[in-house]
Amino acid sequence: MTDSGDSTAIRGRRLNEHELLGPLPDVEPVEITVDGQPFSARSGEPIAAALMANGIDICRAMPESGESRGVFCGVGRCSDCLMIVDGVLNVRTCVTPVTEGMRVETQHGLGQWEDSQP
Amino acid sequence: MELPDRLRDYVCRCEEIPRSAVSAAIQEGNLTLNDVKRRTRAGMGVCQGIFCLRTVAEMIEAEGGVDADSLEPMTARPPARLVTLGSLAQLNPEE
Amino acid sequence: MRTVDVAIVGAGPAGIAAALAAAESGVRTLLIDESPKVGGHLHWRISQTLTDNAGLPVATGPGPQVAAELESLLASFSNLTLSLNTVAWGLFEDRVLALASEDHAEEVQADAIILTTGSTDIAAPFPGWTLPGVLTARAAQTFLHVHRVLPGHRWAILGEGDDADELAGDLARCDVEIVVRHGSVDNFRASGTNRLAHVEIEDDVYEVDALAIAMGRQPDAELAFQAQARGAFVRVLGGYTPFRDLNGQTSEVGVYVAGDAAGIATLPELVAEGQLAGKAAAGAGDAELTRAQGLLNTVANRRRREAIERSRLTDSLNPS
Repeated sequence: MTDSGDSTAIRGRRLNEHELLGPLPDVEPVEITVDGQPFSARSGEPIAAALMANGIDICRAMPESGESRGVFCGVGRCSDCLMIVDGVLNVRTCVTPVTEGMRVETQHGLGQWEDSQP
Repeated sequence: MELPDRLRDYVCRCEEIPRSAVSAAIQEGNLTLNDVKRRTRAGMGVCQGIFCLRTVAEMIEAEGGVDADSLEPMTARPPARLVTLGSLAQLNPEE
Repeated sequence: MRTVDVAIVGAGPAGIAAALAAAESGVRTLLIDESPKVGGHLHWRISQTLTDNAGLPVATGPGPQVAAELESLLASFSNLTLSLNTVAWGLFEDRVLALASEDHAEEVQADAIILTTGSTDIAAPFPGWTLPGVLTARAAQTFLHVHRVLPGHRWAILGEGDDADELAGDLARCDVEIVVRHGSVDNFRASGTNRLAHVEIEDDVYEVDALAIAMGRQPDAELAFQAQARGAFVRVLGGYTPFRDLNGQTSEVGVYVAGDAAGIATLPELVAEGQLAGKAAAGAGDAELTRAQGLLNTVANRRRREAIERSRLTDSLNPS
């Protein structure tokens, strides 16, 4: 489930220029997969940033309601962006950098804390 | 615009606790942050209550008649951040 | 267990000011931050240091540039260790800090600990606030300025005051549309099937793809409360705030809190507080402390001075 719901997937999300910060520096691209589909990411950026840049806004489905959640606090405090990364449950994607070949999966329901170790 | 029922008016995002559950707990006489937390799980999630504590405090004041300024904070327990068991396992208490 | 003289948690402007002050007095200083760079909110609140360096010993400029200069300055002290990508997840008896990084965990015992852990955004709930596309102002600023990704092109801003205005300025620089701004959660809701599509204010409906909650920030001194420091809910300081003495020391001897973590402050205020706590923690003499207190008093606005007074640790509370 990597679609953005209302088919309102937002295009053109990289902020390539910024009047105070200058042009976006070149970095090595890395390839990751999200629910099996390949996507390009910027080396060193958090998983959630790579997802957002590729138009993916949904990280998990909540255990009680099944509601979709995406980035909320963006700094590792809330639990909304938890996903399964290389088989590990409950990874905070807003503060975990991408690596080459990383497998990212939408997390459905509750990962048990005990299971969160590979 | 239709708002699906499942998009409830949550107070606590992490544990999916709706406003109605917190109100009910206050009506039952839970008038401290820790009591509401124990009764409803609001504030028991990964964020340690940082995003719902103020709302719960304001609800206890409005619905329970307790001055929010007099409320003790929720008991702060480690970890202050989500840390993996793997990294904690390296701690050697004998060291 | 590793020991240091002064350990500082949080390498934002207050923590950097504290670390520089402690290191200048010659003590063994450890500065810890969970992110890969020093600078804290200078990286996402990029416009703060454009015209005023707030007492930091560097030139003015965009936040990340100021942060980079501060990192070089910190590196020039041989008695200062910088631990980045490191989470301080616990503070225990006798000032023992529990640290964890991706592949390492340890405990560090310090003679004095300064918590400059900053703030967390305030987010009052409203129907639909859990939809993807709804995010805090800090998340918005972090994605725009640190990760350089646009959470959306058509924005709503919820909240009023300095933080909301700052974000509106940031968004204007990113050439996106601010569709609607609204002050409070009353009669406000967000809707969409699987992601944010609309905000509704009374009977008006606005089409948006991002909604930032900019309702202000709250102090985040969780480690101080873990260490049993006394405190209270002080509305004017933004939330639960530890009681402190004139130098920033809490009811736990040797545990200091400075900057936003002790109550939301302006940049000059939190830098001055960091410097004062850094000197006090490093054992500076009365004359030097009086000078640092005087500097804080000069930069603190009336609201901050009154607020600090409300959370003042009185002598009877102070076991030292």
